[in-house]
Amino acid sequence: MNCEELLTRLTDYSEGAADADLCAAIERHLRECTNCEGVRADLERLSRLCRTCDPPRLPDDARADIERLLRGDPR
Amino acid sequence: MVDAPLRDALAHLLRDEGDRLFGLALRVTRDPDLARDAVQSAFAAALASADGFRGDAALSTWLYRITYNKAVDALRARAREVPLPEDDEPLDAPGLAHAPSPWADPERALDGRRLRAELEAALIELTPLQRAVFDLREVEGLPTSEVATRLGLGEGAVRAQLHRARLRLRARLGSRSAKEER
Ligand SMILES: [Zn+2]
Repeated sequence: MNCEELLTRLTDYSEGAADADLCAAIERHLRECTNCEGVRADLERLSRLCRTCDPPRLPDDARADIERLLRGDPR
Repeated sequence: MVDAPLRDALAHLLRDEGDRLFGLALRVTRDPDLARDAVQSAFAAALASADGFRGDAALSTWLYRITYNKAVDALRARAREVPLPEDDEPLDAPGLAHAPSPWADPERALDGRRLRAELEAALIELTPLQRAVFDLREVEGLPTSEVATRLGLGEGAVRAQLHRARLRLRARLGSRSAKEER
């Protein structure tokens, strides 16, 4: 497996969608290639960072408008 | 005439999922006004076509899909003269991977607040679909199978878009840090 192939399959690998042979080939490459291992580690860090993003909040007046709509009230 | 159970179900969904639906619309549109319009239109559409969710999709799943579609419609309407980027343009994985690591600078790496702000700004690099996949998978933490259901895609397509989103965000965050260091 070369770097280009690995770099296109990394998400299949991390999402558990790679079969056993592919996983083995990817893991072998990652042990030997610090560049690709660095990218893999970055994508993992990126995912962790995202999980701590502040959840946006639906503005109260928008929520009130939708509640009115659901009650069938005229505006 | 809309039946009361549907109104009740939608009211529950508004309470439980309203923020998340808004989050999806906000990340897709990157505009709070367009996002709230998209959520409101989605509820209006759900109310208007009571038959739409009968079938195998749960009402909440269906509402996510309508919200996504309304958000994309809003973007299209606003940027009629600017074509939206294509979801299937060729992926230059090695080129993107070549960008410096966003975590190369240790001081910045520890500043989660700054990185998160830069991350939200970097979403502009992505297509609307990639932003939706990113929001549901990476921010909400849903499994790819559930993201696929909510957006009406295959799981392979979700992973492909997620991968593009991840590589692009990493590259954008990384080149930004390289620029600032200079
Ligand atoms: Zn490599």
